Amino acid sequence: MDIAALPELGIGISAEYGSAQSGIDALELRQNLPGAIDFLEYGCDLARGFDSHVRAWSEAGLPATYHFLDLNLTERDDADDDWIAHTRQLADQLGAAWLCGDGGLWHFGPRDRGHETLLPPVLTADSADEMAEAIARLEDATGMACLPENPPAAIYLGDMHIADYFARVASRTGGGLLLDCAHLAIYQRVKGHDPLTALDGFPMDRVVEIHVAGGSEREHQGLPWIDDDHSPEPLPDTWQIFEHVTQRAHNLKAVVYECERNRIEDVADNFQRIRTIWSSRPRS
Amino acid sequence: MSHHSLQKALVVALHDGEFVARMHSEPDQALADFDLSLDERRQLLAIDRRALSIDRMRSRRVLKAISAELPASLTIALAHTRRFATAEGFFASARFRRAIIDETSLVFALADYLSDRASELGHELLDGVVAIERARARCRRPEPGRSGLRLADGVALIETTAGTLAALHAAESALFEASLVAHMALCDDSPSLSFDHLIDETAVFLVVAARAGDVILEPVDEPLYAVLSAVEQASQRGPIAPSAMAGLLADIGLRVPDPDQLTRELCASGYLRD
Repeated sequence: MDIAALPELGIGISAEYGSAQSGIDALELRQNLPGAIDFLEYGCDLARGFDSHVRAWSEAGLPATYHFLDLNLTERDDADDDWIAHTRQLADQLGAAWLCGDGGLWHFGPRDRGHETLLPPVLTADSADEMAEAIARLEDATGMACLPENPPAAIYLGDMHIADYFARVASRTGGGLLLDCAHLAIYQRVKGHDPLTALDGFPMDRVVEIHVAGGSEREHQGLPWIDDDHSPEPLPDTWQIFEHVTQRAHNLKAVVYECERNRIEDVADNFQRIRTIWSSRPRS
Repeated sequence: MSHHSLQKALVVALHDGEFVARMHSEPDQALADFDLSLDERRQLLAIDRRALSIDRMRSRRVLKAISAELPASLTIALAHTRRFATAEGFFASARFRRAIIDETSLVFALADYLSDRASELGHELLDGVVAIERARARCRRPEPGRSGLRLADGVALIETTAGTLAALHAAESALFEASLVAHMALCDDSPSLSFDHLIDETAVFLVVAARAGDVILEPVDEPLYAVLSAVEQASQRGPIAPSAMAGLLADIGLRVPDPDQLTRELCASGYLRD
């Protein structure tokens, strides 16, 4: 998949089914804070489909991307013909520029009630290779780019650094990546690394999309952990990673500020900060 | 030995605190079903146990989702034992572990678990209600169609008793009443549930059918049930032609003037398809 040919979308906001009812409506944000966002990233699973919010955005002909919430990229055959056909149909309705989603486990076992989860892949070479095969199959079947995203977790298994894992995936697919800076910050904390550990060997030219999101530091029985709760303020580690990667990702097309659960007034300043960093990036 | 096996062991560990304790105290026994390499086992045992219990509501959310298809069964089970441990014990059960390892549906694993409890308790009504709700769940998930004359997609047959049906309806009514004011469950003077008086061995023949977004229970007479059952059993052995109806009727001792007409009517009514 030729990532250089993908459109440049700019700054986006995330949404999921029903998120606009209690959080931010992207059309209202666009109206009340002109220039804040350029596109919408919709987190979707086939069980729920679209809500009225994303339908309104789509009917306005505005740019969007499709973020799946029900596909296990760690399983070569999880994207069956039925899933592919229905997802492609929704992505087409949305006018999505590409598909993306956390590369790991969105359901354990069958795609059935009670089986929903989000777990990272086991960070091994054979898992990375299987993910690459799944992505290649999906891209062939849909004709759309599929950007795998590094997931958040309190537990990571496997002997590879997560950056090396997704680097291997990208080298096998020849395609792009979605680097979630908040999720990477979580991983580095879990492993006791500095925020930028292992990024020196990371294929920055494969980064098509970046996520920035707030997280909260919590403690469970004395164990510190970070809640990926999409609160307004990203951790300093997240900002550090974002600024570092933005300066080096010459094929970067989009940045999503995952803040859909908050009030516009609580995130306005960060949209400006993100746009300033985005605008200062070197152009290839 | 694969990343999939290790992932499955992690899924079980995230839902079952007893499994976590056993995998540390008796790793050979606890991990025997997971086909892990020594290094994979080492990684699993190296996980900070506290990290496995960060999400305290994980199992509760799963239980909420899957019990939505077995509401009466779970109601009857808990009304009998009066212990929520009966429900939460599902995650420590072999049924749960097997479903994770075999990648099968947790709804049916919970149904099997409740059937096991029914057997232990000698609770025939519970077992009967589980069978009905299991059939409903199956009707919501039509399997890829076989060819030939067979039960229509989303249709199943259940032979049960009047007492079981009464227990199902009583449990559903109790749940509805409890949903009006959920706080009632906290009170010592809330109505107690008892199903023992509902024992009635009168046979009832049901067609369970997915219709317009719901799954209905339709009582039918015994001859119709016998015809549909004969078609179901025959079609499970291999594809049968619509013209085979005459032979099937003869096998069960029934005669009709026009077997082909009967086939057409049963297909038109949504019981069968060819």
